[in-house]
Amino acid sequence: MPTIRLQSSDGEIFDTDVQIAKCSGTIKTMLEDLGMDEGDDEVVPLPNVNSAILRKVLQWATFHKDDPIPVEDDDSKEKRTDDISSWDADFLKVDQGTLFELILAANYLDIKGLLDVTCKTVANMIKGKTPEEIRKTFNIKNDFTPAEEEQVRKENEWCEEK
Amino acid sequence: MSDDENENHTAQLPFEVLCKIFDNLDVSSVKNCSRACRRWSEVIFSDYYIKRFKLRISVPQPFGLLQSENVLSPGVALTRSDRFYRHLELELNQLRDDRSKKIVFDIMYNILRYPKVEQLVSIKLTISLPDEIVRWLTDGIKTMKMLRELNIVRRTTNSQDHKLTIQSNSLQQLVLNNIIPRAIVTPKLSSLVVHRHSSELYTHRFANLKKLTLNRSSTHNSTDNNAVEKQIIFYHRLNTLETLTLNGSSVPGYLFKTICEQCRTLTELSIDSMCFYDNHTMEALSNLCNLRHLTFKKITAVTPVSFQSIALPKLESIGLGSFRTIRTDTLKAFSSATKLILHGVHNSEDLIIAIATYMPKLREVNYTADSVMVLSYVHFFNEQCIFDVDPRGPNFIS
Repeated sequence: MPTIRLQSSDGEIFDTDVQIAKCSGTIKTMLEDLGMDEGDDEVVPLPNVNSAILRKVLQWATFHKDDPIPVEDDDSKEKRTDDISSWDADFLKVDQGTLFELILAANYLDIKGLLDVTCKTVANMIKGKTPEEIRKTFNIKNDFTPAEEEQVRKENEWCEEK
Repeated sequence: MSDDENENHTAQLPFEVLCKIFDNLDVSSVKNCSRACRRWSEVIFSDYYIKRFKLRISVPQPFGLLQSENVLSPGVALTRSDRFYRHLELELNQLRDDRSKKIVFDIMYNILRYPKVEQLVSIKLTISLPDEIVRWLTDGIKTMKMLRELNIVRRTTNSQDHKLTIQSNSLQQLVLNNIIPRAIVTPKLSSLVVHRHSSELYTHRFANLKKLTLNRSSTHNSTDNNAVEKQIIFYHRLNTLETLTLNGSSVPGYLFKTICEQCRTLTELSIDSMCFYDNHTMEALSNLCNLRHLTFKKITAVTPVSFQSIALPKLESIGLGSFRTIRTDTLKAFSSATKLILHGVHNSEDLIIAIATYMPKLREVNYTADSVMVLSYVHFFNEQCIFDVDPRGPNFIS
């Protein structure tokens, strides 16, 4: 099975099955555009992903390597968030720091399936919470002035779904 | 993987990832997010994301409760707002006092302010009085380069302001209720719905109109001697029309003939009520050879209604209502239909059996609660035919 060598930001090399690496749109384009031949001993540097996160990303990609290619969905509709598989749910039982690093890695590497499921996980942490509870969950600082807060609250009263 | 307990990890997420997270939320959760911090608020009400929302303001508030002075009034809040809404829905009720009048004028002033006015894509305005507000809006339309949908509902029938002009190069859908402007200049208009119109409507030209719905015309203006002629000329010009729905007032035979002869691009025709004296009137229907959907809810004629020598090769669905008498054997004109909608209150046994006999391709029958007796004759129909009650009821107007 052909492999390529991925290098994390902290210098660790991951020998990876090409088919698994190609679930990343970024790596796929890189291989095609740069004409990197499979079997070359060249190293693909991934400066935005550290080894701990890259290990997790590859673990996810290995489990999902036979998934059908996700279709582009309609952005205008609210999506379901209760369809996370139990494997993914277990996989994402991590601290917030790791979860958000996985989101950034999935975004950078362009792995739609992983980005979808991590964003859904964050959405589930938001659902049903008050603004104050949301701030508490993510350690967000309330940086509104009282007047701005009143303005947003008031305008939101008139805001409805299109 | 150390995790600082107090770190805000969301701060590192780029704009498009935050949008992706919010995409998974219902609107009330998204609204709560917008109140969490400035950045989230900015993302949610950004140019990119605000399409998901419409601004809906109702003045005065339902139940007539006046807000106390220290609550932000809509006008003031809109002045301070930096959101560029695309969709507006305004309900401005009868203004009894100066304060609510001022609120309404403030709202209109603020939504019609440059550059916000240029972003508007759809507007629905429901208003009792005064007509000045309607004119403000219709005057502003010229500057709304993105406007596609406009819906104006006037609650009062009296004292029409005839100086209104609707002029827009972008408008595609227009709904007018109790209002007919002096001029409608909308070259891209493809859909027009008019509730309660007068014969003035027929003086307008709609060169690219695909869909027209007329509901209930107002009492006939007896001073307009040319009303009939205007109406005929109006239909002569509608040669791009695909869907025509005439509800409420009865369609006379001459008008039906004009429509069939002039609007040959029609694929869908629905007539609530029709009345004619000439037996051959119905034959004009064959001109509409592209017709796929046809509905007659009520036909009044001196002789039994006949569909003899009519051919509609592309017909897919037919809606039938009440006929005092009908030559049931002529129903074979609709033999290509696969779907039937029964609107009638008094569908006779003969009619239903004739339908089953002369429309052998029927696979779907929808009936209203009033025509439920069709179920007694199911065995006359093709055995693959599915029967379903139409939940919209007999008086549904699409």
